[in-house]
Amino acid sequence: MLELLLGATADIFTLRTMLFLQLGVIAGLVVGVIPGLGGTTALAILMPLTFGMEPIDAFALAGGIMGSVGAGGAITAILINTPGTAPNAATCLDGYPMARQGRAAEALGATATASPLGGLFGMITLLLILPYAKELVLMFRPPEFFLLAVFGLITIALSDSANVVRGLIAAGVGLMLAFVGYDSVSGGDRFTFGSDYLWDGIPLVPSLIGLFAMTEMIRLSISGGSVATDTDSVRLDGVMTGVRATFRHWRVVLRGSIIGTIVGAVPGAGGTVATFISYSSTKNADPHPETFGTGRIEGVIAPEAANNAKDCGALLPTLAFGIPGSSEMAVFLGILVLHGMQPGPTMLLEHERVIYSLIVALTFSAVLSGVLGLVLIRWLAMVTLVKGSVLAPLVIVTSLVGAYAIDSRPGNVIVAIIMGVVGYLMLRFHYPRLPLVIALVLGETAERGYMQSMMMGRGDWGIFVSSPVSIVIVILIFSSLGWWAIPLIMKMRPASKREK
Amino acid sequence: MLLFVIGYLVTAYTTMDADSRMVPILASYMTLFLLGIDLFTGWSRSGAKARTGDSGKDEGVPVVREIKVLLSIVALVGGVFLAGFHPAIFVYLLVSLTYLGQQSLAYALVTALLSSAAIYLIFELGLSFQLFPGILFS
Repeated sequence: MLELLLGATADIFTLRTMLFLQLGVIAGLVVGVIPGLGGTTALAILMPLTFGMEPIDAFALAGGIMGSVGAGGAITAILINTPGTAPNAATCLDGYPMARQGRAAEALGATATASPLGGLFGMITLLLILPYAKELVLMFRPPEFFLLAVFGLITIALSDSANVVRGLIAAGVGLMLAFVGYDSVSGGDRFTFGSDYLWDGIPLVPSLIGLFAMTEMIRLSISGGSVATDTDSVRLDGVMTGVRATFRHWRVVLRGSIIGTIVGAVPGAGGTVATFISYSSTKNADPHPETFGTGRIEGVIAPEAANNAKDCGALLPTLAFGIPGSSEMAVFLGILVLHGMQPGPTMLLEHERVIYSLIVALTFSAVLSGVLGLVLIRWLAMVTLVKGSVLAPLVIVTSLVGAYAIDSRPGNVIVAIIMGVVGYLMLRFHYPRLPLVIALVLGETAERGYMQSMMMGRGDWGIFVSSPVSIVIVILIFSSLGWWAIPLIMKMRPASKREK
Repeated sequence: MLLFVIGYLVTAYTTMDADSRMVPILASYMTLFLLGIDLFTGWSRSGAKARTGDSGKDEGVPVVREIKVLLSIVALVGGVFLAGFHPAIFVYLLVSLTYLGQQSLAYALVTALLSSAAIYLIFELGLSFQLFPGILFS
C-alpha cells in the first residue's frame, strides 16, 4: 500500500499535474463562492475540456475542484450568510453571526484549518479500507450488483424525505432513459427511432452538463440580479485565532471527520446531510447547546471538517461499485468513463494507482484550498457581485461548446439543451434531479445484473438471497424503506392512539 | 412526465420484441403508478387549498422571463446548427446581455467579442479543434 501511495504521490507531484491541480483548486474556490453552482456544476462544465488530457491531469483537475469547492462555499457562508454550496449551509448558522461580531477572519481561519484536517482524516480512513475493499468487491456477482443498484436508487430517492414519491418518479424516468440504445442482452435496439446517435444510448456527459450546468444557469438567468451585494464584512485580522481554535477543539474535528466519512460513503446521503449531522451532534454534545447559532467557533469547525471528509468517503462506492453517492460523484464518474475507465470492481483491480493518485489529489487540494482560500478571500468574494444575467449566458455558451467538444457530435448540443430544460422544469416543479442522474448511470448495471441473475437462477428469485452479501443488501433495502415508512405510519395514526 | 411515460410505453409495445421491452416496460409501469399517486396527492392538496381559500399561486416565478430565457437558448441552438458556433455565440451573447441582462450595448458588444475570441483561441487555435461550422457553411 505504501509503495502505491508513494508512486501515486510522485504521479501527482509533477510540474504539469500540479499545475492542473492548482487550476482545479482555484476553479473550485471561484465556483464555490458563487451560490447555486457548486462542485457538480464546475465538474460538469470542465468535464468535456478534460478530453484529450492525460487521465492523471484530468483527475488532478477534478480532485482540485472537488476538494476546494467546499472551502470556497464557506467563504460566502461566513461573510454574507449565503452558502456557496448546499453543504455550507450549516456553516452559516454560526459563521455569519461570527462575521457580524467582527470575527469573520477567525471563522475563516477555522474553516481553512478544519477542512484540510477533515480531508486528511477521510484520506487515512479510505487508505485503511481500500485493501479490504478489493476482497469485498470480489464477493459481488450479478445478483449483488442488481441489488446494490436498487439500494443506491432507493436511498437516493428516499434521501429527500419531503419528496419521496417525486424522487422515485425521477428515478423511474432516469431508468427509462437509461434503456435507450442497443440492448446487449436481447440484441435489439430500443427507442433509437432509427438514429445512429442514440445507438449507444443517451450520452452521459452531455446529459450531466445539461442537468447541472445548464439547469443552474437557466435558473440564474431567470432569477436575474447579482448573486450578492454586500462584501463589507471582508476583514482579515484574527485568522490565527481561528487556526488555534481548531486545534484546541480537536474532538469536534474528529467527530465531524468521522461523520463526514461515514455519511459520504452512503449513496444519496450527500454532503448537506453530513454537515448538518456533524453540526447537530456537536451542538448536542456541548454543555451549552443554546449558545449555538450565536457565533460559536465549534459551529463552524464541525460542518467544515465533515464537508471535506465526505469526499473521500463518497469515492468508495463510486470507484468500487460504480455507484455515485452524490451528484458531484456522478459527474466525476462521467470523467472516469470519458478517460476509458469503468468504475466498479475492475477499476479497483486494474487501476489501483489511479485511485491512490486521486486520493492524494483530493487531500492535497483540501490543504491547498485552505491556504489559497485565506490568500484569495477578498477577490473571491468579489465574484459574488457578478450579475446572474451576465454570468449565465457565458456559462451556457461554454457548456454547449464543451458538450460538442466531447466527440464532435452536434447531437450532444441538443441532448445538453433538452436535459437542461428538463432539469429546469424538474427544479421548477420540485422534482429532485439527482435520482434521475443516478438512475441514468445505474440503469444498465441494474438491467444487466437482473437479466444475468435470472439466467443464473433459471428464473428463480431466490438467487437474490443466495449469498450473505445479497442478504445484507436486501436487509439494507428494507431497512431504508422502513426508516422512511415507519415515521409516516406513526404520523398517520390518530392522535388519541399516539397519546395512549 | 405522464405524456412521456405513455409515449414510451406505446413505443415499447409497437417497436420492440417481448425480450427487449421487458425491463423498460417494468420501469414504465412503476413510474406510471407513482405518477398516479403524485397526481392524486397534488389534486387533494389543491382541493384542500381551494376549500381553505388559499389560491396556491406560485407568484415567485416570472413566467414571461422564463419563456424569454428558454426561447433564447432554443434560438442559440438553432443558430449553432444553421450558422455554426462562432456567429451564433456572438449574436446570442450580444442579444441576451442587452435584452435579458439589461446591459449597455457597448458592454454587451465587448463581452460578446471577448468571449467569442476566447472560445476561438482555446478551441480552434489552442486545442486545434474545429467547432461545428453550421449547415449553411459546411
